[in-house]
Amino acid sequence: MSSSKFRSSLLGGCLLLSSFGLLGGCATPPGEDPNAVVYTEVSDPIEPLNRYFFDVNNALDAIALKPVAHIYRDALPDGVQDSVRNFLDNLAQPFNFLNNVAQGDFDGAGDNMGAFFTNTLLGIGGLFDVAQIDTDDEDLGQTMAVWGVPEGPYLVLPILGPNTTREAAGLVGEYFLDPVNLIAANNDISNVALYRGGANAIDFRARSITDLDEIEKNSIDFYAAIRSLYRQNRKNLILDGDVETTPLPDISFDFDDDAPKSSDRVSLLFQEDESSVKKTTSSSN
Amino acid sequence: MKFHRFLLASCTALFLFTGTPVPSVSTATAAETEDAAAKEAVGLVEKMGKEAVALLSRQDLDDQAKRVGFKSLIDRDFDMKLIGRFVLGKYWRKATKEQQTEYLVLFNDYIVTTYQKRIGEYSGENLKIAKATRLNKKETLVKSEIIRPKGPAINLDWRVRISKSGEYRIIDIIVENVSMLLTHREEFSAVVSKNNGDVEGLLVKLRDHLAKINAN
Repeated sequence: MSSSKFRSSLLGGCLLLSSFGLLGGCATPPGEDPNAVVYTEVSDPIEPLNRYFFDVNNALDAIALKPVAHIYRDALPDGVQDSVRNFLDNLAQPFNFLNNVAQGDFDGAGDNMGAFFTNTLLGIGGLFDVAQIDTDDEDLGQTMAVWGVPEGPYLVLPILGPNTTREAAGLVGEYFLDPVNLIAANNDISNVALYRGGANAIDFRARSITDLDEIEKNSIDFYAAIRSLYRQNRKNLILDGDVETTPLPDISFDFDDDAPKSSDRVSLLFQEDESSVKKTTSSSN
Repeated sequence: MKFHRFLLASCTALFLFTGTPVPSVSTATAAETEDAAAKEAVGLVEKMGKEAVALLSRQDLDDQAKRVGFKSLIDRDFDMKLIGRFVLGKYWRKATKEQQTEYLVLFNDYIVTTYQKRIGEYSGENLKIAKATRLNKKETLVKSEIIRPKGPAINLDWRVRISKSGEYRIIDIIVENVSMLLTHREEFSAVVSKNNGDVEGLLVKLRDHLAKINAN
């Protein structure tokens, strides 16, 4: 399992950093119509199965991951936790680099390379973030999105957690493509990807205990809340960087069924409401 | 870590900002606020921020009193009816008049309790309003950042809309490009569709949820 696999697990794609890197040439995925880049309704055809695995994963989390994360968070000094995080981030840089190149983001790729060499050489193998370059985590799913591969239905994988079909395909590819895993395999060091995945999972879980608990406690449908957060975040990761074109959620008045069908245009959001509300009132009376 | 930041913020956005310890709300530079609407919108967000800070940092009020104050702030500055309707989505029109009325009351309570939960848990955050962008003739996006003592800033956008009566109201809070409005909407519609499209199921769920929260 690659680290990204596990990152995408749990809360899904969670540790994947933003793709400010997309700023470069690909603020909008070329394959997608810019007007369609608004958030679309959720596609979840196998929801019952997804809910089942969501519950299974939560149960596994409660008995296995969360307790470990608790201990990790409370027992280890902050400095140690930071170094673990730095080390794992550093290991991810070569693959971030490849993804940025594939996405045409050469500035981002340069940052990845600079951070990797600086931190590896001066930061004692990546334990310390000497470079202080705010690089963005990339993954194959994001690269595929930039290439125009559609998101596909929502998918909750056993153990790995929330995904979409595209991201799940990306995970499989990453397992085989991540340079760190390849080098380890070439040198007969076994299970590196597994350990990385595990470490990333614990690190992520430790930092999100409070937040996830809070979301769970306050939501009336935890599954749907996570699904929405996951998909919005993925969209953000793929598109991020160009703040002005950041897609706002589509707030058309589609609760008025007879509202004008402007729902797929970002900036029309509420413009139609005056007329549609009137229409609604008259039609519903 | 971006997602972590977003997670942290997503469940706390509202209170972070309304949250007790936001010590100051800085002013947007005049040059960046393009026109009157933008100015109004920024003013609204700022005022909301300042008053919430003032309210929640008061030592002489208990939680209950703070909640009442918080609720009235939300009622005043957020277009709760519009938000409530949007969150219910297509099911709004399938609900009866009575269901709609009850739903709006419950939804209001849900928002207030949910977002009030974390008040007081944060310290040292600082809301910095960056600029306002007009989205269309009715809406303005006010961009702000929560500056934290530790860790990177959190992007927080406020969507402000002119209501039918001509007042500026907040309709959405967008944390790291994740819309709270949309998240609630997807959650709520999931509950309704689980109950075969019956809004009553959602109302039951909301009542239970609020009862449980208030019992604690």
